[in-house]
Amino acid sequence: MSDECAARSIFAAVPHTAGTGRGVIAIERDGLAIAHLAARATQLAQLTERFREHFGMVLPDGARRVAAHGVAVAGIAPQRWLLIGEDAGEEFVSGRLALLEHYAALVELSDAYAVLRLRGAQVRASLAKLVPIDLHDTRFRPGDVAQTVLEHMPVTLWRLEDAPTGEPMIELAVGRSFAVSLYEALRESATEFGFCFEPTAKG
Amino acid sequence: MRINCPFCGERDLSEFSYLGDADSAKAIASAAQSEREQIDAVYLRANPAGVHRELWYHAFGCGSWLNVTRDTRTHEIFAVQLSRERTP
Ligand SMILES: [Zn+2]
Repeated sequence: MSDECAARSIFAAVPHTAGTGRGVIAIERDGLAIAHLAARATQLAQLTERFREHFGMVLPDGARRVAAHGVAVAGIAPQRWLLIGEDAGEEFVSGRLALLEHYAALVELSDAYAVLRLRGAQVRASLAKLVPIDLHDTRFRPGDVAQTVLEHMPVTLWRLEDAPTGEPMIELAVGRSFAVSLYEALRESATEFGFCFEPTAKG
Repeated sequence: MRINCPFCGERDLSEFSYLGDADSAKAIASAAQSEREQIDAVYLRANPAGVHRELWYHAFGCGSWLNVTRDTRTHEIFAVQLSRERTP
């Protein structure tokens, strides 16, 4: 077997710094289990109840994200959600989520997405050059989710709780084939503030 | 111009695509109609100078179809509703 078959980061071959400083730090979120959930038209109440029983969370009814016990759920459209399992493995969808299939269409998409976490004092200033949405501290709050467009690429963003340093943290999910284009757009936008990349982060 | 998507909030025009008159959909073509009526149902759309209810697709947002009531002369928007929650 050659190394051709070994797993490696989608960002392994791109430059990992730009400019000077650490205004924006991009962290690869590898190993996430990701699925789309779409409620069946007449089953929303049952789905919400089953989800609450098994995951201890209420499915958001707007563009919001909640997380508990290593599972996050983000509202991305009316009666549609993105489910993300941390370190959840391949059995996340076939196992933990399978009980939802009576009430919803469930699609395993772990390999379809790349997710980057951005943190640093200049995250908002860098993203403001790239997306047509208001990222002001009071308009895009922790827990908020937005689907929008970044250099013609459809992206989903959500804001996490601020880092202990008080810096904002935003994660972006993009179709995996767009990952390097997204990364290069972010790196270029953040160059004036100093950009650096860090490999996979847990949590 | 910005459209206030009921799910996503106020968003830039560049995230949307336009389909046209939202009310012609009432006249869906059927085999019971005459050829003339079918042609009208498929091809004829109102295009008024003034207040108009029209379909927009939030292509780069939540993917919802929206019914937008807009004045085509001023771009003032009076109402936006999810097409799935459409009222007659
Ligand atoms: Zn929307």
